[in-house]
Amino acid sequence: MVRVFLTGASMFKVGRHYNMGFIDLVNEVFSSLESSMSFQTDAVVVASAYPEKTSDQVLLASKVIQEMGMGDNVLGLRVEEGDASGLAALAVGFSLVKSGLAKNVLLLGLEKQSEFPSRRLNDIVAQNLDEVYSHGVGLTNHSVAAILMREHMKAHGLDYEYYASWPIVMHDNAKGNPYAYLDFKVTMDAIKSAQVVSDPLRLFDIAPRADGAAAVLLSSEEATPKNDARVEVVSVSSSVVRGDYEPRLLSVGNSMRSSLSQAGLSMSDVDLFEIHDSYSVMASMILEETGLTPPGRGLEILQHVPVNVGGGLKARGYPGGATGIYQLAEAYQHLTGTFPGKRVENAEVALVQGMSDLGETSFSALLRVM
Amino acid sequence: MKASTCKACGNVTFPYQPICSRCRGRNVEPVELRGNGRIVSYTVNYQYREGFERQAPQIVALIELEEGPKILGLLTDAEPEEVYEGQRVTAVLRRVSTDSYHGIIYYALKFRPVRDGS
Repeated sequence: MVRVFLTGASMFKVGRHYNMGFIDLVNEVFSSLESSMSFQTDAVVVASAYPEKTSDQVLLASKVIQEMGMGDNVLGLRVEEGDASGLAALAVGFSLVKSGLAKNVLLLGLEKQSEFPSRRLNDIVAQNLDEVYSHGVGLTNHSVAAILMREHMKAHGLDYEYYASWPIVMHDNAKGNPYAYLDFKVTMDAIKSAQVVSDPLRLFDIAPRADGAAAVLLSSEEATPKNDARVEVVSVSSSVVRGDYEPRLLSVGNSMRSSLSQAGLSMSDVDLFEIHDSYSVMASMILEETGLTPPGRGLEILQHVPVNVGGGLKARGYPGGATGIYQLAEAYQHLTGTFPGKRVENAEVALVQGMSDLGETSFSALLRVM
Repeated sequence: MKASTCKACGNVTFPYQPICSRCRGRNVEPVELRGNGRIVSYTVNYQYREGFERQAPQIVALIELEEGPKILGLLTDAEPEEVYEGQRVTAVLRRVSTDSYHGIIYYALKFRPVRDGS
């Protein structure tokens, strides 16, 4: 069986890069990756969710291949699965290497979301909602998340302060992460008094969407340098479950359990979680699916296991479809001891979980140091 | 409001789809929902989408319909302070947005509270 390894990673600071187009962003991460290692790219898989709406752009992979001078025989693809695009791109790249079609696949996360007022961005990301009865009547993703938060609070008897613990820890984690958008501390008072977006959802309960670019290289065993600590992509799994407005994320549980069982591991073997905290309530519901906490108390896991050590979507920032590539890049750097921010020592197993904004579809990947 | 009733497990799926959302059975038949239900939860949204400025603030409710499905809907003819969980609502057709450039007016279902005598 062909094995697949993560052999390189590069990130650009998530933020408001008004002066940069897609190719400028790619140039930052690609040249940084090229300067740190030598490789021949066989395929480029671009993960980007909203380029048609945000930048009037398609054909991104071809443009990247041309502009970066990768050669005439490189396969270019773009994967779109909303904000889960990053890990969907991993599923494609993983398949290309497994099948023997490519030895080195560059996964490139790209998103531009900053150049608009929030009402415009809310309209763009509302494309994720059901066509007729949610998008068509003018609902926003924030309102759907607010309803889920209300249902979660009622189901488990929780107050607002429970959720506020998430941004406090994430902002603290982001301090020292040079790629983080919001690398400053926040207080309980600031969180509780922030503007109400969609009651009970306040500003700090929502991951901030911004621009970003990140890259990771997937390689076959023969293309992986033998002398380094090797990070194997052991499994990639996904699940789609129709949302029923119950405060739980079945797709997340399915995808995480599938990734672990393929690797012959259990939740308690995971040294590091990277999760898709698009909202604080999502973080709680994702972590509840691990089964490592009492029902409705997902955030309590923060006291026992490293989760989103670089600040997560909440503080590293939420670059839409590029998010999964940032998660993979961070996990890779933790496992190889090269992350420039707060580190997890001696981590060998990382579970990376990414999903659509509201969790109808979830992907998981199990990474392991070999 | 067209939904599907599963002849195998009895589940009602809204909106209509040819496959049951619970048991995935193909033996479903279309059913017209009455549009009546009760509010399970609601949120008042202050950050609207482009084109929906005139609706702000929006009241978005999770509604359990009489026939069983839970759906999200926008409330109309209601002020935030009047809304409560358990409140009865009924579906009505209302204008949602106007494309002044192309001259198109979009209509969709909203829900209004059922008050005594209405």
